[in-house]
Amino acid sequence: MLVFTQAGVTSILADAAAAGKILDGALVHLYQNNYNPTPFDVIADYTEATYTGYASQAVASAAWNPVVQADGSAGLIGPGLFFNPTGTAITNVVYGYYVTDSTGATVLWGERFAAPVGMTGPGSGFTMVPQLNGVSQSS
Amino acid sequence: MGILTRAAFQQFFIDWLANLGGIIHVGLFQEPVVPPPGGQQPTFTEANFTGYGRAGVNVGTAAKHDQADGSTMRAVTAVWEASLPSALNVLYGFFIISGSSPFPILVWGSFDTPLAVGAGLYTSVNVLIGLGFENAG
Repeated sequence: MLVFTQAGVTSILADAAAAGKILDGALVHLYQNNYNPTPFDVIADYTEATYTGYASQAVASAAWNPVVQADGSAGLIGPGLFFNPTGTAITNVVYGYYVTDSTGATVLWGERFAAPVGMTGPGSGFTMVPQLNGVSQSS
Repeated sequence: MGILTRAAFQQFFIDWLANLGGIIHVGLFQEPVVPPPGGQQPTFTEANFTGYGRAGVNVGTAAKHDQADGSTMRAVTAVWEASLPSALNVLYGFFIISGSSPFPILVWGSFDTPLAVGAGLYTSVNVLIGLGFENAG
């Protein structure tokens, strides 16, 4: 049995979110293909949203905050990110989000939404909070 | 729940080890440890056989082992030599800290079988530690 303590997980994630490290400036993207994220994902697995007004959003180092869940897992929580179409010329159904490094070259994690969201025009948008939790295999 | 990629695991690991200076400090404990809930700090009695001390292990250069399930790990071996005659210790597992301070413990593990050392028994302890991440999603 090997146990990562809450302090251990917190230490790892804090280092990942430190200035100049991989989560500093990480980009949050929405995807429009009907896809379930896996540990082996690469950029080509995701079809990024293209609805009118869409752009990925960056999260700076200081915007990642440590969080401890009731079950003892430790994680990082980002800011609320508002995605909202600015027109109706191009509409999408988005299935989830994925996070890349600041260059957009490496997928760090992905999460499928509980239900797809139609991005059909102004007012159809939503706010999402990117979050990452770490928990030991044994606890 | 988000699904972390292997690439993220590896980079997180690299950054973490870099921040630790590539060195982890490994100690041994001599009584069974009951895992506290929620990843809280465990309590235990540290080994005290003659010749024991926490071992600094360089994991920064340890070989990387990618697993089929998407996890990745590094394996290192820590070695202790008991100076005989020595007090008998029965060792139940190990813990990892980042420096000389005993807390916080970052990682700990139990041996499959307790190991007796000292008092004419084993004179050395070799512990192979596989340290890695598995996707929790």
